[in-house]
Amino acid sequence: MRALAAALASGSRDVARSVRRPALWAMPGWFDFVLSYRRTLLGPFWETVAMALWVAGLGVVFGYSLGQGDQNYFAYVGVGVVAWFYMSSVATSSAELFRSKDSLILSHRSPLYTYVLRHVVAGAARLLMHMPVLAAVLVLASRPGAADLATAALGLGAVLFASFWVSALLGLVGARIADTKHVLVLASRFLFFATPVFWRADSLGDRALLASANPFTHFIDVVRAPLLGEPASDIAWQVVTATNVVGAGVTLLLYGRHHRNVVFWL
Amino acid sequence: MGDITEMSSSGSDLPVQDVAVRMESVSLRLPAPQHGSRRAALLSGIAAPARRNKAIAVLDDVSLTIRKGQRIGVIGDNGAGKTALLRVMAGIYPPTEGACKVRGRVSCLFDTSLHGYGDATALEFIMLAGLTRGLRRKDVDRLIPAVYRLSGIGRHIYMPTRTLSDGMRTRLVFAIAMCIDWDVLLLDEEIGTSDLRFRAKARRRMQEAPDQKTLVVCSHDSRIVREFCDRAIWIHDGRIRASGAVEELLAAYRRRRSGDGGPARGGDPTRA
Repeated sequence: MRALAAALASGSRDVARSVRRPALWAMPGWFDFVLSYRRTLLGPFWETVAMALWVAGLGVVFGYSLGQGDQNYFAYVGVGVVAWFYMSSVATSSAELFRSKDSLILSHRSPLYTYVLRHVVAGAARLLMHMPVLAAVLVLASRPGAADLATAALGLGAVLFASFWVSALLGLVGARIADTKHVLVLASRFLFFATPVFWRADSLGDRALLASANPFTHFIDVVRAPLLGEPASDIAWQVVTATNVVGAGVTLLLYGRHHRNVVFWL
Repeated sequence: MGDITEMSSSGSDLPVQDVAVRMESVSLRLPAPQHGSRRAALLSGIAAPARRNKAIAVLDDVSLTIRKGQRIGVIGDNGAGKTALLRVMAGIYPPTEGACKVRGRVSCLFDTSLHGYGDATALEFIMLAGLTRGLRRKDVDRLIPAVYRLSGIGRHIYMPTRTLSDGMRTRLVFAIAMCIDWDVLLLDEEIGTSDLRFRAKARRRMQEAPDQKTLVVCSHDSRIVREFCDRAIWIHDGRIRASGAVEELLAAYRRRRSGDGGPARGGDPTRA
């Protein structure tokens, strides 16, 4: 019990020290994102273009060709794809979070969680570049009211909160086990099709449980449902809240116990 | 930048305020993953499964006290533990056993890596280096002209850092480490790869630094140790083999390397 408390205290201290020093992660996180687009014609707007093509492609293929289409389908698929790509890109790249910064981590001392915050900032910057696509599909297809937007913002807050602990957890595992990156890429490809991102859960009929058992369904639902003018289900909020509470707690415990070892794993 | 750490004076006759670095019985073991045979891995095309991790003793019961204002050269063969010693001082590696206390702000230069910022301009690189070392924005604004002057980078400051020559890159990262406000500066090798003119500039800068500033530099290059240091430590197999005046220690190290043997451990091993 004492070891548990010590791990929680150690993890919390590192997180608090990091959060208190935004200079260590805010602008460096933004640079982590924009520098990957240096020397390109469109810069970070490649993200916007790529997302627009994804949404248009899925909207056309599944909305018309396969008969899932209705007037809200573009909004449905647009919000779903934006939310999914944020979650999957943050999660899959987390495996390399500490490994990709090994020279920095081994060069000078700073709280380790600053690298997690940098990672989340870079992910949020990517999400920002997807926002014009989201705005376009909402304006064209669903036009949510102010109350719906506020509820969706709350859902987005829950998704963003998850990225803080998911990044730390997968970063820790990825630093220790080199296979993590490959497993996550594989899982993300599979889950893209297994999650109701571009298809509707109710189309599964009596097998809808398959979608309900997938937490990603609910994380997408708390953002998407309000934007489509429907309230997110109570189950969705319960799953999202429980996942965040349990996930953050377990992560803090593991992070507190192992974050000092990361320098030895790099 | 390191934290200011309160130190107890136990175990030393030096007043606490005169001590820059104190290591007490520091041991460091690093995990060394053991892999299966390389031939089997090559033949199968699949990485062999990792066996149980073993630990390598990198530092073994190291105790030393570095007085404020001392300029210490750390010499020793490859793999002797010099870089690990510096990383423990920098607070990057937590010691497996023992304790290390550093009093004051620490600035480090362990490699000339661009840390993935090859596409950033040198100007942006200085700014990011300042921020990731914990400087506030207004301190970064003061850092930029200081680094520009010391590094002599000139118009290349607006060029992507990946386009800089090795020498220029060394000057840039060295100047950043020097120009950040520090009490203890830890350098690993890198200055040796810069040109003579820059080394002279760096030496002048070190000489002009207030007496309370402490330098610890690891190098294979005896010229660097002579130029920058007034005392030296010889590390061998993770232990302090000897410490003392620079010329005396360099001569002993040279004799040992040419097979004549060196001084036995003892004498004054814990005081640089």
